[in-house]
Amino acid sequence: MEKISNTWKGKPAALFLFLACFFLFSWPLLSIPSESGGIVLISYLFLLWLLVILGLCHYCRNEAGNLTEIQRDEDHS
Amino acid sequence: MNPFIIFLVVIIYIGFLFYIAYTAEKETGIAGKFARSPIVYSLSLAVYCTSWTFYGSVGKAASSGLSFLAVYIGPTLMICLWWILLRRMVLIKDKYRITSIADFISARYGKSQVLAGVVTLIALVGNMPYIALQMKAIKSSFSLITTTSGASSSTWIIDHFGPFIVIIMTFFTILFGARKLDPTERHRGMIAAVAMESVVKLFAFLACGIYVTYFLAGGFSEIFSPTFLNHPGAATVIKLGDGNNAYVTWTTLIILGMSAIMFLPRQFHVAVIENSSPRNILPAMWQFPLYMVMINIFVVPIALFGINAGIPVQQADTYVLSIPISHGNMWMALLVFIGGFAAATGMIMIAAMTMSTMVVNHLCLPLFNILQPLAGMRRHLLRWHWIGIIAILSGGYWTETKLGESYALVNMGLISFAAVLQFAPAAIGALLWQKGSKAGALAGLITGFALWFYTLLLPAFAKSGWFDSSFLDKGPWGISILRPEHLFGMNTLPALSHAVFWSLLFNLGLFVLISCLFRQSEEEHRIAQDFHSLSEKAQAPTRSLSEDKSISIADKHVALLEVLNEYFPPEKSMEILNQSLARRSLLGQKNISIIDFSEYHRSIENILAGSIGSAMAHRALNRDVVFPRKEKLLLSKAYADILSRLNVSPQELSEKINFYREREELLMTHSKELEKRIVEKEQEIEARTQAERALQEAELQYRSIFDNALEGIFQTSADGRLLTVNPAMATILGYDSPETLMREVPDIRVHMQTNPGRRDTFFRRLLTGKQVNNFEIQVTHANGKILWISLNARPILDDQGKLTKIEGIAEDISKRKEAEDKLKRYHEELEETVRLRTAEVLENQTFLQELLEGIQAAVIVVQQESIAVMDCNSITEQLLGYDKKALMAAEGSFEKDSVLFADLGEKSLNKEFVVECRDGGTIPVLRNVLPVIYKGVPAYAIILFDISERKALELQVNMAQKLQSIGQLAAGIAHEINTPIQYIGSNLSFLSESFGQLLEVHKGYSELMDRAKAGDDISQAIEEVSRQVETLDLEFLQEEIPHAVTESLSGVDQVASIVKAMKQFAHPEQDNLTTVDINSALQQTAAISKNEWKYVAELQMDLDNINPVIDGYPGPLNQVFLNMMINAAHAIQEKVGDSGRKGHMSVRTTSDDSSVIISIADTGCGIPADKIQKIFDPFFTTKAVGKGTGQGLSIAYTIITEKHKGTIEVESEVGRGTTFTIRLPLHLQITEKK
Repeated sequence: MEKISNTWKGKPAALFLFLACFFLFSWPLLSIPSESGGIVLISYLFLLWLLVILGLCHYCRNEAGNLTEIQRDEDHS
Repeated sequence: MNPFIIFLVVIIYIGFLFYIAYTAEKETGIAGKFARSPIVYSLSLAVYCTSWTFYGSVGKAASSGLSFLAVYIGPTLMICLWWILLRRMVLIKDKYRITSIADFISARYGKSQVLAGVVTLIALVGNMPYIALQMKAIKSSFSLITTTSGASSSTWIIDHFGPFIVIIMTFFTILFGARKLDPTERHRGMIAAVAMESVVKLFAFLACGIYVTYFLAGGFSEIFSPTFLNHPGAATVIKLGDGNNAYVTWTTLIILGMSAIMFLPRQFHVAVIENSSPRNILPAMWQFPLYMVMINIFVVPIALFGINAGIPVQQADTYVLSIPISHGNMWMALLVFIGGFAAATGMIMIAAMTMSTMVVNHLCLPLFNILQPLAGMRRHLLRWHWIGIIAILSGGYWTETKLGESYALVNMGLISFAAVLQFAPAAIGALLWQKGSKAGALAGLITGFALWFYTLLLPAFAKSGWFDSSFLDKGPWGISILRPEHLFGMNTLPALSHAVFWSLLFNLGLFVLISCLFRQSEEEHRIAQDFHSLSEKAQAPTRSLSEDKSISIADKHVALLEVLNEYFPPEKSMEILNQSLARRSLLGQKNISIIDFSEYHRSIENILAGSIGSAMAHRALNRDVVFPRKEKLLLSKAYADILSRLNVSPQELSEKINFYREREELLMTHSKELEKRIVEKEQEIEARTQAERALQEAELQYRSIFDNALEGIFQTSADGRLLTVNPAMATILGYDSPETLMREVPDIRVHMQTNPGRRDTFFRRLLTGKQVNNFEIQVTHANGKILWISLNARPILDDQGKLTKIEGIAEDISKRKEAEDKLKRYHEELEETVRLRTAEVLENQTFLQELLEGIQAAVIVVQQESIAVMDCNSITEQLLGYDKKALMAAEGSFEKDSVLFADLGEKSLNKEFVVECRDGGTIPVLRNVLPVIYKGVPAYAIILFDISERKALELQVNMAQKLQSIGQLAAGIAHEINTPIQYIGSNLSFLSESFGQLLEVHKGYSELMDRAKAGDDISQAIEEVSRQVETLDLEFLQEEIPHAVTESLSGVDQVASIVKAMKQFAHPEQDNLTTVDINSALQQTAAISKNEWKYVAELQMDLDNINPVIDGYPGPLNQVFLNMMINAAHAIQEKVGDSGRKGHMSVRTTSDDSSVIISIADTGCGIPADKIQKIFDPFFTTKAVGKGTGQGLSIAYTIITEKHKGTIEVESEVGRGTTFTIRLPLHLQITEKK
């Protein structure tokens, strides 16, 4: 398991985003807007979805900036 | 809408896709730029949104509420981890040249073929119905949009639309997805087309959504107003799901979506295999979720509108299409149809390409390896890929036609997702868990797949009514805990969640359990480590202490300069600092990390140690002002951080350092060996380069020969398809270039269809492995003309002796054939001519033979070279007395030196010879010699005319002419004789009278003497005598008698000479060859002819003193001279007439060593110039009739030129005279004597 944890080292943002999304899109948190239903639920789902995308966009921009030259070279190769 | 229009639009759309794919592959034009854009990667990922999304989302929303969003939110959650997981997969793909999800899982677990086969099988079973589902969507939407138009007449198009699409997609997939063998190679064209399809389907769906929401419903506010939401069916749409299981289903769909976006074979392909750079993942991580949001944003409004519009919920899958149709907006319907078509075809093509690769690589190839008889199939991998694509697409279509509206197919989307979920434990374990083993993965996969089949697929089949569904309620064999949808008595979960739960539980559980129980093989362990190291490599580095640039160089410079200035001048100190910064590549930086500062510090310390010693330098530079304690601690932490990141303890680090030192030594040794090898390799490379260069030159030469050859060179496949042709071949067949030829008429058989039988013979001979040489056949030129070509071809066989290719050379022989035809016709004409000529020749020959036999001349043919007698006619035998055989054998006296064969060098006519016959006699002949070709041999035709009779006649003529001449002379001669005779007679009378008188006197004297003696008186007698003497006039007599005697004698002599001349002139012996005194002959002739000229001319004889004598015939020569003199006398007489004047004749002889020249000239009337050429012709005369016969000069010419081999020339001038000059050789040749 230590090896697995190494995999996530340096990736807290991605992991956090994933876990946060998972919880936000799952019971019991989802039951809150779901109880209301209708436009609330739809708005919750789509807005949350767009927020996740915004978060992803921000994350990706950061990661792109963090790429070392070597990694860039590797990527290009 | 009219099916034709739909069909046409589909064709145009497919053409557009072909254009996009083609230009993307060529990297040209806008499509080329589009293909290179990073957004293509994001859009290609949208292949996830199939027709199931396009049509099914609305249906799902209408029937099950908002749970459909989980299928797209799940992937979004998974995408959060893409930079960790997907990036690693891409790196692994690049390193291991992964071709598919099966290949990926197999590669991690010891490259197990069994594992790959199982994954492929699961994917195949799970995906085939899904492909069928897409085809169903295409067919249904086409049917919907066309049937509403009521155009029943176009049912043929509707019925055949499905197969047509299958064929087109097959072609497209093979062309842009499987044209080459390397499946790891990216398919730019295919991906660009799929990306474009994503744009089309999104555009279509958004257009439809805006149309429905804003144009039909009045906007979002209206859609979500009570007007719409109060509809009974609308309540379902705006809820998460039904009842208590809503969250369970939601979570299940989230999980399935997460799994599907990673492990669906097509998704794995576009996300991993087609990934050109891991960097593309980052923008795709937000672009693709945004795409999913956009394509779903109008799902609920459309569903609500459809329900409110009264369209049954059972038809909710078609809302997207049926709403525009029901509102008469056919163009919107058409756009939606194309959008749905794009959604379906994109998925179908990628899925077919991916599945084909998996099936061929992991099912077919192992099978070929196991079954030896099929081993040869491995050489045809590319074809197997094509077959795979055809089989998958055909299978999908077949499945659609068979399953149709069944429950299994309708729900196949989620069933497929659940199947793919089985890959998740093994695949994620491959990335994250080093201990995961092949056995564990295999056990988990098989068990999970079996449970998926049992709990999900089998119930779906049962619900489709394909077999008894009672086991669903009672369980197999009545065992209730084995009920597929309530396994082990679990009744709380809905079917899908139930299946996902049990299959995933057993899959994951067994994967972990078995992996823990069974150790990995060495290979597995190594690959696992490699996968993991790639994982670490894939980690983006976080900023650490070692990278934290917190040390200000400016501050440190101040401190360091202060120290260094204690030992060096300021300039030197500054130089040391800059030198050290440059050495560490830190020039220009304001802040550096603690590690960089440490090394920079150490560099300066080393320089300072060189001047003040290491101990002093260390002490000086480790002052707190230079390297404070805080920074030393920071340095320690940085090193510790590095150690911790290396995940080793100091002991381990020490061991590792030792290990790496040993390894370094080994590597050094190895590197030296490698250097040596490199040198060898370089030499080898050099040699190969040279060989390659030579090969290139040879190739260039052959290419030049190939391009510039006058003969056509071609290579075809076994079935005649042109593979290569040279320009000459294209020219022969009438095309501008080889490319044009191969593009327009790629099959050589088409060119040879003029004569199918001969064409088949050509190919049949090659199929038997035989070469074909100089095979002449007619071919069709591009302009339609028929050409003749000559083919030399050889078959190229594979190892099994099967014909694979044909190589050959073609030569345009049309002109030759034309020439041959002409020649043939000419030959036939010639034969006909020859036949006619032969007949003519035979006729002529017969005629000639008859002529030869009939002609009264001997004809002898002799060879030119050997003078051998080749042939003769019967007259020859008669003439010469030899029979033909004797002549041809040259027997007897008839020899080659015969006079007949003298002077045969050239054509000669009318030469006279005297030949000796067999009996010893001689015959005068006239010989004509003609050079001829006789029986192909150069020969002479000698024609002998017997001129015995002519000669006799000539003799008679000559004699007659001679007699005529003599006759002419007779009167003159008589006159000449008469004159002396007369005066001889007178003289004799005088003498007789005188003699009587003298006798009287003598008598008187005798009587006187007697009287005297007698004594008689003599006086009387004396007187008598005296009177007698006085009477006698003795003095007169004494004077005249001698004169008379002399004159008489002279006259006698004159007569005698005339007689003698006549005698000599006419004597027969004179015709024999003898010596001739020319002067004498001329004098005699002058004497004979004196009477002719003496009255008209004075003759001057100017004869050569040498008195020339020649070999000749005196008689004929005298005749010639006589003719000349008489002619001269006549000419003068004609001129002088009776004037009494006399002309002048001169006869002159001279001689030299070889000949005598006789000139007879007169001053007569002369010969006119126009007649001078004819004077030697027989019977030509200028004299009055009766005076000349015209034979004289003719005979003279013959006598001089032929008989004496001399020449005769004439000069004449009218009124002034004529001169004949005769030149006679002194000696005649002995042969002439014969």
